[in-house]
Amino acid sequence: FPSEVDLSSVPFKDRKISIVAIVGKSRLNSMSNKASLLNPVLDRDIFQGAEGFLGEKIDKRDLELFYDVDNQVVYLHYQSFGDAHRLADRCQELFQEKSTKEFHSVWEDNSIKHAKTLLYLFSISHIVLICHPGSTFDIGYVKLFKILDMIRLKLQGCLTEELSDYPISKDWYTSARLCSPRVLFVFQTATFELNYEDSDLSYNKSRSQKSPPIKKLQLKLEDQIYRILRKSRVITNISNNSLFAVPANHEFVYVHTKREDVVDPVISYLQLLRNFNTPVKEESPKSRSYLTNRRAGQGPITSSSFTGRVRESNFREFLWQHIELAFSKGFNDNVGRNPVSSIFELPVCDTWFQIALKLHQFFFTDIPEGKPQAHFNTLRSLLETDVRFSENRCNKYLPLAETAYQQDLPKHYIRSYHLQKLAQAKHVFSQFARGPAYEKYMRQLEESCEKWWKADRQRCEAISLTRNLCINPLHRLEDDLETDSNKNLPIMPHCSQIKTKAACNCGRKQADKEDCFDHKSANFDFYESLSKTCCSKLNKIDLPAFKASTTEATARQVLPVPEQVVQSHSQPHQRSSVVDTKRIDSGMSVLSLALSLEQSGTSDVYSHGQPDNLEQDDALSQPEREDVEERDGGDVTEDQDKEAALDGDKTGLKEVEVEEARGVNKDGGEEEDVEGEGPDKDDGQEETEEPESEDEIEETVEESVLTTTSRQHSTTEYLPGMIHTDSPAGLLPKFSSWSLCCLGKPSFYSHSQGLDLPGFLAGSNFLLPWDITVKANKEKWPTVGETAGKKGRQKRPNRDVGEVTLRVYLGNEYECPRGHRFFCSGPDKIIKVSSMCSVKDNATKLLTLDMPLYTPCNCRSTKMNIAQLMRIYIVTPDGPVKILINPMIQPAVSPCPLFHPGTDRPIELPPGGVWCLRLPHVYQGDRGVYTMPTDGQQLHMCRLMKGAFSYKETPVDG
Amino acid sequence: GHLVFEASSQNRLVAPPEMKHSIKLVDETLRWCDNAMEMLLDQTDYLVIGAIGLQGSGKSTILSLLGGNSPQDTYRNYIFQPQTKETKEEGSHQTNGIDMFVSSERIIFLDAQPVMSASLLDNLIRHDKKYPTEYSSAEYCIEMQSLQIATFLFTVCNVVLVVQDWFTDVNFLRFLQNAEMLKPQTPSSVHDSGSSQDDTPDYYPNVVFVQNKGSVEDFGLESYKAMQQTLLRVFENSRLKSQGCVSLATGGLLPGINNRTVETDLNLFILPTMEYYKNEQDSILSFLPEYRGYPSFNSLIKCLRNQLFSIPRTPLTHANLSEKNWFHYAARTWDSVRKSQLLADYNRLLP
Repeated sequence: FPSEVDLSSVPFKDRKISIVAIVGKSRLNSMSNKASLLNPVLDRDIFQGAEGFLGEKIDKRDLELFYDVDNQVVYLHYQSFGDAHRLADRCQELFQEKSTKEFHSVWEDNSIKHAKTLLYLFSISHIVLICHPGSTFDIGYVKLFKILDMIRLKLQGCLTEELSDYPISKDWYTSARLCSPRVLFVFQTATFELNYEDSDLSYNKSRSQKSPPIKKLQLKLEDQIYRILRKSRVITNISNNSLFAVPANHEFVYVHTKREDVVDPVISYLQLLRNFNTPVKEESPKSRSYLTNRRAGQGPITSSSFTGRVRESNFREFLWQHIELAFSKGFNDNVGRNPVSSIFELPVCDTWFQIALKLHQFFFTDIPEGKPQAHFNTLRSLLETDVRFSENRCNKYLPLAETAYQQDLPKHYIRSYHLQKLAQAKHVFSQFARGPAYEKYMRQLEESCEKWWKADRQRCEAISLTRNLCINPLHRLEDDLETDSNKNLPIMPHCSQIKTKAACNCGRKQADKEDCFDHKSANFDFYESLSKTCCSKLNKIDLPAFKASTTEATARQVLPVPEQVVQSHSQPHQRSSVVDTKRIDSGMSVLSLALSLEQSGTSDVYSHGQPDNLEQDDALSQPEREDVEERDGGDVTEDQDKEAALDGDKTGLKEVEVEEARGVNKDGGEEEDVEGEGPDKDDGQEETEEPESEDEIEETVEESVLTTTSRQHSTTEYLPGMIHTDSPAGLLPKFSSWSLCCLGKPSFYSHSQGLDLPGFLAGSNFLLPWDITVKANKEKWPTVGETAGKKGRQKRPNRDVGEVTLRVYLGNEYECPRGHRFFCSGPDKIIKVSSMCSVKDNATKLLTLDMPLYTPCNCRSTKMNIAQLMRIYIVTPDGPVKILINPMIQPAVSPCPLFHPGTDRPIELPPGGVWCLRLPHVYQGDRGVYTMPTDGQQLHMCRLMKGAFSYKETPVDG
Repeated sequence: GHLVFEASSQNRLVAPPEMKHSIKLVDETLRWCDNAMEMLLDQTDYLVIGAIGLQGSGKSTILSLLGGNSPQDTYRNYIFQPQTKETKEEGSHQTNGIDMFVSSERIIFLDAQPVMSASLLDNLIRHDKKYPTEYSSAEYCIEMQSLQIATFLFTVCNVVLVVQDWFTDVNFLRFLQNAEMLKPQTPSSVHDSGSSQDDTPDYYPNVVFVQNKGSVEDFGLESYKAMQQTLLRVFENSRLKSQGCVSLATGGLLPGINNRTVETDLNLFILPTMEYYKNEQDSILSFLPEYRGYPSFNSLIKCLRNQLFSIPRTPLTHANLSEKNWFHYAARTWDSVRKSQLLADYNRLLP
C-alpha cells in the first residue's frame, strides 16, 4: 500500500468518493495485468503491466492506488501470487538467491497476506472486482470467503475500536466498513473463441443482438456463481450480515472477449500488410464469396479493434452502472420479504484516506497484540488446511519413526550403525508422513535420533590396524589432550577385544597380542614387554632410532613428496661444504666420476618396482649422500666397507655391469692400501670364545651402529611414522619397528632337528642352506674387478684354487594370527619335512625371488588365515665371509614406498651366530597404515624384495 | 468395487474391437464401470496417459488429438467429446467421471472430469443432489471428489498431463500438491495388497504441464523460461516426476527455444489455440501463410505426441502389469481412493 502517499497532496479532500478494488488472478503476460482492463474505463493507461514504464515502482508494491479525481473514484489494485508474473518473479528471485527457504513457506505467507488484504479491501471499498483470467469461477474462493467472513465478524469489534477516533457515521463505525461491498466477477477469456468467422457470423446474422452467446454465458455464469455462493451462505438475504453482496438486479459477471489488451505488434503489422495485399488480389477474375470480400475489405485488424472497442465500452458500462449507483442511491442488495435498510456510506476523500492508512497499519504493519493477533492466527490455521493436515500426520508418525530407531539398539554403537538405523527410521517416516511439513519433521527426526545417539550411546570409532573397531564407548586416550569436547569422556585405551597370538623378537616365546590401534604398540610395545621375560639378554644390533637431544622433541610434519626430494638434495650440499678438504684434493675428480657411475647402478637396487619418477629421484640422491658421508666420515675402513658392501651387493646375485666394475676398480687401489687394518679386526672376532664374543659382538655392534647412523640425524625432531624410501632424510623414528638379535652360536640350530621354537607347524621349522664358495687365496680376490668382461670366466678357475664353501642357513618365517609359524622355501611354498627325511630344498629361491609378505597359513580354520612374514633367521658361519642383510619391504601395491630398517647400507651380521631379524608387524606410511590387501590378487604385490641377502668376503690370512 | 472376471478369455490373441470413442471407466456418480475391460489385452507393453485440469482447459480435446484425431475432424468424431458450443455458452463442463480410450498403439488414455469445477458444483446444488454426509458442504464434496480423481490418476497413470489454459492458477498448483500429498501408498504386490509393504517405494508418475491455448507471447523464450522456473520452484519438493521428459526445446520447432537456451528441463509444453478447420480456406485466400509467431498446432501436437510416447514406461507397481491386470489394479485403486483414510483425515480438517 502506498503509505507514503502524502495526504495533503490529495486534491478535493472534501469530495465524496467511491472506491473500487480489483483483486484476483492474472495470466503471465508482460504487457498487461488485470488492472489494465480498467484503463479503458479511465481512458488512460494508468495500470501498466509488469514491464510497463512504471514497472520498477509497481513491482515492489502489492497494492496500487489511483485516484481518478474527475470522477471521484479511487481504484485499488492488489497483486498477489495469483498474478502469475509476481509468482514468476518471486521464483526467479529465489532461484538467484539460491535461497534454502522452502517455497511452501513463501507460498503460505503470501496466502495469508492475500486473505488479509481481501479483508482489508472488503472493509474500505464499495466495489470489488474479482478477476479470473480463465473462463470459469474458481470455487476455491468459496472456501476463502467463508473463512474471511468468519474472521471478519471476529475482528469487527477490534476494527471498531480502531475507527473510534474518526468523525464518521455510526453505521460505518459499528460495521467497520463502508458497506457490504458489491463483488463483480470478471472473466478474461470466454469459453469459446470469438474468431473472425464467429465475429463475422455474429455480425452477419445478428449484428443487432450484440453477440448473444456472450450475453448468454454471462447470465449462466451469474446463475452459477449466485447459486454456489448462496448455497455456501457466503451471501445471504441480508447483505449487512455477509462479507459481500452481489447485486440482485444488475449484471455482476463480465466476460472479456478480447484476448489481449496489447496485441503482438508483429501480428498487427503483418495483418495490416495482408489487408493491403488482399484487395489487389481481389481484382483477379476469380469469383469470391461475399464473406471473403467483406472480410478482405474490412480487414481483421479493423474488425478486431472494432470488437475490442465495443467490448471495452461494454466493460466501462458494466462497471459504471455500479459506480453511478454508489454515488446516487448506494447499494441495497438485500433480498427477501422483510427488507432491511442496508448500510451504505460514501466517505469523504480525506477521511477515507486516513482510515485506509490506519486500517492498513492495523492489518499489516503494526498488528495490535491480543485479540486481533489471535484472530489472524486463526485465519492462518484455517487457510492452511494442507499444512495442518501435514503437521498432524507428521506429528503422529514422528514417534513411530523414533521408536523404529530406538528398537533393538545396542548399548553403544558407531556412526555407520547410527546412520543405518536413522535411515530405517526415515524410511518408516517417509512411508506415512506427507505434505509440506515433511521436511521440517524429517529434520526433527534426524535431530532427535542424533541426540539419542550422542547421549551416552556413542561408541569409539577408532579402527585397529587390523581394521577392527574399538568396542569401548566413546572415550579418550590417556595421552589425549583435554579439550572441551572430550573432558567428560572416560579415559581408557582402545580395545577391540580381538587377540592374536604372536612370538617375541627372537621367536622363542609366544603370547597373546591385543589388537593394536597404532604402529608403536604393534611394532614395539608388544615386543618390548615380551622381551623383558625373554630376549632382553640376547645380543642385539640396535637399529636406527631417534635419540633426543632435548626434552622437547617433536614429530616432524611429514612433508609431501616433492619437497622431500628438494630436501634430500639440498642437505648433502650443505654438508658438502664442511667436507674434509684434503679428501677433496686427493680424489674429487675420481670420486665424482665414480659417483656418477654408481648412481646408475645403485638406483637399480633402490628403485625396485618403482615406476614413480620422484621416487627414483629420491633413490638417486641416496648414493650421492652416502658418497658425501664417506668423505665426511674420514674413517678409511668405513669407506672400504662401504665400497665393498656396494660391490657385494651387486656381485652377490647379479652380474656386475661394466661401468660399475670400472668404478669399483678405480677405488680398488685405495682399498688395497687399507686392507691391512680390516682383516685384523675380523680375525679377532672370529676367534673369540663365547663369553668374550659377546663383548666383541657388542663392539661390532657399536661399530655397525656407528656406520649405520653416521649420517647426521636430527636430534630434535623425529619421524612420526616408519622409515621407508620416501621418508625425509635426517629423521629417525622414536623407536625401531624392527629388531635384530642373536639367538646364539650356530650350534643353536641343528639342521636335522630344525629350530625348536614354539608355534611352528610340524616339519616347517627348518632353515634352508645357502652355500657360499669363497677363495681361500686372498691375493686372487682383487682380480674379480679387473675387467668385467672376463669376470664370468675368471671365476671358474678361481674356484679350483683353494676355495672354501661356507654354509649359511636362511629362513623366512611366517606367522599367522593364531600363532602358527612356518618357514617357506619359496613364494607360498611352506617347508614340509617329514620326520624321516631331511630338508631337500635350498635357499636359492629366497635369494633370487621376491618373497611374499603374506601367505596363506595351513591352519584349519573356517576363514583362511593369512600368515605374515615376521622373522628372518640367518645362521652365519664362521669363515671369511660376512653376511649382509638388506630387507626392503613393499607392503602394498605400488606406488608404495619400500620399508627398510633405516640403515644406510646393508646390515652386516657378525659371523658365527643364529640371527633373527624381526620384521615390523604393521607398515605405517605417511598416509596411514598399509594393511593387508583384501583383494587376493594384490596380496602378491606385497613382498620382500629380492636381494635381501648378500655376502662379502673378508680376507682371511690362509 | 468387486470385479467380475470376463469369461471370454478363450480368444486372448484376438485384437479387441477397434475403439472409435471413449468408454466410461468411472461414471458420473463416480462408480467404477467394468465394461471397459473388454478393450484390454493380456500384454504388458502399454502406456497410460491421464489428463487433469480445470474446467474448459481442453483436456478432452488434447487427449483426442493425441489419440489419433486430427484438428480437421468434426467434433462428433472426436474420441473424447470436447465441449460443444452449448456447453461453452452455458459455462458448464463436458466430461463426467473418467473416460478411457485405448489407441492402436496400446496407449490407454484417461480423460477425467474437471477438478474444482464450478459447473459440477452448480449441478450438485441445482439438482439438490445428495452428497455423502461426511462432507460438510457441497463445495467440499467437489473438492474431495477432485482430490480423489487426481490421486487416482497419480496412482494409475504413467504420465499425467496437467492441462491449463492460462499460466498459471496458483490454487490449481496447490491443489496438485495436495493431491500428491494425499496419494495412497502403492501396494507392494498386485495379488496381496495389505500385507507388509515396507520396502516398496511409492510410485510417482511423470507429470507434463501442457499450456493450452497459448498466445504468441507464451512461445517466447523469456516467458517459456519463466514458466519453467516458476513450476520448477513450486514443485521443488514434490516427488512427482516433472522433469526431463517433454520439452518445447527438444522438438526443434522453435528457433529460439532449444537445449542451449533452456537450461531447465521441466516438462512443459505449450499448445496454441487450435485452428479448427479454417486451414483450407486460408490457403485459398492467401499465398502468405498467416503469421502466428509459433509453429502450427498440428506440428506441435505431433511433437508432443512423439515425446509423450517415448517416455520410459516405469512399472506402476513392483510387478509389471498386463493391460488387464492394470484394469484390476486401477479398479482397486479407485476403490481405495474412494475410501482413503488420508482423504478422510484431510476432509475433517477443512474449515
